[in-house]
Amino acid sequence: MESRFKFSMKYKIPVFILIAIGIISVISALFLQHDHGSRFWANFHLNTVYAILISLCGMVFLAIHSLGMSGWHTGIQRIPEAMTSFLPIGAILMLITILGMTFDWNHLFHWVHPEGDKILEAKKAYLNIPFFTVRTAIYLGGWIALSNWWRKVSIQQDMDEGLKRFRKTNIIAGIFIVFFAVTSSMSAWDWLMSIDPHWFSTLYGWYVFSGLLVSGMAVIILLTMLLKKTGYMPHVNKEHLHDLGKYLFAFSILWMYLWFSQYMLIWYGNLPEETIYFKQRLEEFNTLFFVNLILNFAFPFLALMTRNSKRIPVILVFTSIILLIGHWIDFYLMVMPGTLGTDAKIGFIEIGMTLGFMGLFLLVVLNALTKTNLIPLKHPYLNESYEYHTQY
Amino acid sequence: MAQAKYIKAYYLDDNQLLKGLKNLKKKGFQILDVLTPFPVHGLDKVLGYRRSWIARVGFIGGAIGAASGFLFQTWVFTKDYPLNFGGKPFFAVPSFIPVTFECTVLFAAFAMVFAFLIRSKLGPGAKPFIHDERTTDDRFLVLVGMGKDESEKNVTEIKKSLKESGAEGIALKDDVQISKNF
Amino acid sequence: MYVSPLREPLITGNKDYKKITADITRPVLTKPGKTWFFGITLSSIALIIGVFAIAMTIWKGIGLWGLNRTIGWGWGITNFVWWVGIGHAGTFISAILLLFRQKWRTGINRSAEAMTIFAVMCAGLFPLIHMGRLPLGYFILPYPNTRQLWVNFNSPLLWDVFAITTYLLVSILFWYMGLLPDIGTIRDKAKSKARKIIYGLLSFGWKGSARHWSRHESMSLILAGLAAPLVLSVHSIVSFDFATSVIPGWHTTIFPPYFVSGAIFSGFAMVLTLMLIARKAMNLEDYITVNHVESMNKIIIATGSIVGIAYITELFISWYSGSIYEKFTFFNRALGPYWWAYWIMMTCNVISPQLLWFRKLRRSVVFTFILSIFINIGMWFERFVIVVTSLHRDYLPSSWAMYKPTITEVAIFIGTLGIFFTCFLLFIRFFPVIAIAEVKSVLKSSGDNKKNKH
Repeated sequence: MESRFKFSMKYKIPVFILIAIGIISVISALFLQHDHGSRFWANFHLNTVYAILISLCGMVFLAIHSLGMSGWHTGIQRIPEAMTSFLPIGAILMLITILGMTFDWNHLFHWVHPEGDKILEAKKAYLNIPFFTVRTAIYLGGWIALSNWWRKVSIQQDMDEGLKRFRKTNIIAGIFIVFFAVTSSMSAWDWLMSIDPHWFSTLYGWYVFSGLLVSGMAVIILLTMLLKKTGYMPHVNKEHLHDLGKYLFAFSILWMYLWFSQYMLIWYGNLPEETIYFKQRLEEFNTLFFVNLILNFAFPFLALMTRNSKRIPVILVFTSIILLIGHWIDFYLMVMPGTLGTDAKIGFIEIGMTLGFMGLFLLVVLNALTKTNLIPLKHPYLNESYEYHTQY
Repeated sequence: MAQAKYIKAYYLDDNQLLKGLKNLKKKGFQILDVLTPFPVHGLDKVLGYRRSWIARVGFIGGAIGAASGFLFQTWVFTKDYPLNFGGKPFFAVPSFIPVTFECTVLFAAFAMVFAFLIRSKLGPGAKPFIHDERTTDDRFLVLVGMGKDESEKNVTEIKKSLKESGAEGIALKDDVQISKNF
Repeated sequence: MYVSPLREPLITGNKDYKKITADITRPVLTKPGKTWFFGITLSSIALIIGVFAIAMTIWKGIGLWGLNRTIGWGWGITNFVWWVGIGHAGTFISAILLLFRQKWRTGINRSAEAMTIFAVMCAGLFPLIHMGRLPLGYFILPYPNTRQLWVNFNSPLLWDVFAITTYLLVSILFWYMGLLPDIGTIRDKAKSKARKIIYGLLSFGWKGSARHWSRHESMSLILAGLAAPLVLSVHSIVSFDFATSVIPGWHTTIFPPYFVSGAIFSGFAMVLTLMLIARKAMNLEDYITVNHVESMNKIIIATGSIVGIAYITELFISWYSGSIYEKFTFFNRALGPYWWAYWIMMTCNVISPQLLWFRKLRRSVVFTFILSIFINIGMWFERFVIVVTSLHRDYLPSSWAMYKPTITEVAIFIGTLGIFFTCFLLFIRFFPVIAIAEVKSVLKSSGDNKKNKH
């Protein structure tokens, strides 16, 4: 059915308030902290990466479901499509960070100045600003190009019955998934792992990917519930929610499994060049270290275990919010120890800047939602999404 | 237990089965059992079955497994015979997780399976009364229960309802003891 | 549930419930053909060779193997991991594909689950026989004893004991509970008294009661929910055998998910090898269609690509780490004395599955069969490369050595192939290879009979 989202004042006002809080925090961080902007830059980088990865998850969701020939998700597929529209903004924000690195406005990455450090000098061929910039451009360029192409074909499908566009989206999905598989790990190494440049872990890329999946899924759930609550998606029923909830549950377990694999193997081998990473986090960020596990695993595991819980909107919404906070803390633990170290705290600036980024994300995504029909009208599998009853 | 009468009939199609059962239930008749070659979706709802509680047995089994596995390892390595393995602490939580997890799954799986078999009275010695060998092939069998002196009117009504919804082989029977293992 | 008419049917040949029963019970209730007898003769010969080699090993000791002080694990452990990996496909198909509501699993899940059990049995053999003093093998169990010593819960080798045991037992439970309704079908269709009694006993009294089906579904769903993390955990724990050490090539955090993907990859290849032959020999092409083959191939290319990405990640990080030992290990793998094993691995695992991007090849039974053999060879070499090349040259050059398998080790491996195929051939003789009840339940939504469509 025809249905278009209206980005009315009802939504615009909270979004602009969030952005305003963000701007105030940024000003406070830049001008009221006497730390040459380190706190600003650390939070800026943390939120930029978090927002980019959440946005990217939209495309990952679409690609995997396209390749898996899934039908139930077609009724909600416009939501992840809209999420990908944030990627160009993410690219601009990343560019700002890179400019900051080049002109020494920030000291996020110690490898920018490797002189005197034998380990960093050995990694110079990979960890240097020009190569870093080119790689970042390729990652974001490729993701933006592929998600734009997907969105274009998906909109064309609305006008035109037939399988030609559908087959094209399968091809785009195939190209994306291969490109993503390589670039997701590499972007994790570049943007996050190299903050602690003496350290390394082969699992890191996939571990960050699992965080991307959970956070992205939480955002898909929240946006779906928002639209459903305001009457826009009447065809979304308990079955769809149940499936989204199952994903949230399963991906949280996946995240925990990868977290544990990484931690336990480093703990067990007890090699100092690797354990230093966790030692620092256990000693200097002790509370957050455990809060991370409770919010991202213990809570969703218990909250979403039963069948019924995944069909109750309030539980899904609450769990999604907790997980978004939890994974923000996970990224905090990835970024802060290597940048601010013991100076890191959680205060007005952290919360304010995060809210600001949230506002910016919502501004871009909700705006993108207005651009297309909320339901892909002529998608060949759309009926499977409409007539959706399952037995389990 | 009393020798009671029942009517048996079979369907060849699961949609007809569901329709027929809905009619019978609406008229207030008692369905003793339905035998099908595969699980028919919607059958539970029509028959008014609540969801089985064996899932909770599985959960409890898993919880017991997790607790036993973890606490046993803890006792072994902190109280009974602590040994220094490669400098690891005695209460080595990361090491204990794999065995704890496996015990959880093992206990939960066995609990579920035993709960299922015991509750359903299935096992190597079970001797079920086979109403119709084709219920494991392509027949959907319905058994409608009646009291010892069920009125003729009801019998005719049940038979009519069954015939209208497409059932075949409708027959009045009283050849088996009504027991819990019917 | 509504299924779009655009989807390819999962059951062809215009079947109804009666035909499904007849088609699948026929091989169990009639005498097998010459092919079956030929197959089981070959596999029994291999089995006897293996039994002999194992007996010699236990009698004379591990000295009969080619292991030495530097390379303490060779073919034995390579085979162990290979077999455990193969076993994972069965549980993946039964549990994870069930949770993802992939109806096509109904054509292959029963055989895949049986394959899992036999593969895990073969795998479990190796930790037992490589102990040396097998009669004292019960020492690995945590029971109160007069040695006043408990087992080492800190050791991944012990975690393996728990993991493999749990996996074997839960797989048997899952397989057998799923089989109960189908054994009921065989019991009811059997004509001879002996068959009726035996299958009657094995069917546990199943008769298709709605209440029983309801509990059965509930149980299957939860067993699936348990088996899914079990699949991940078992092969992760097997990977911990290597990842918890401190030598280069054996100390890397990516091992758990990489091993799990590799296991599913090789397992699906083995399922294809078995099913492509079985469907032809037993006339089951209407139930295991080209659609099934294509779906399995998609999983193969996905998991194969994950394995490929893991290889590249390990290579890159070995350089990035800056450690000369890490860098050397990977240099040595590609260009050292075992370079041939490494390149067989790369060709079979990374390059060949990429051909499945072509739809025509995904749907070609002949190509798929050949590819499945290559993948299993490649995955064997992957374990060989990880086990042997990491051990043969680690930190201390004076300890560097080479390893060659002895005839005993090769014979044991052939023996496990014998055990596996003998068990599988017996399975298809006496049990239904396809999940009868489950296939019937998807006939209406996914059969090719237009009358059945909504």
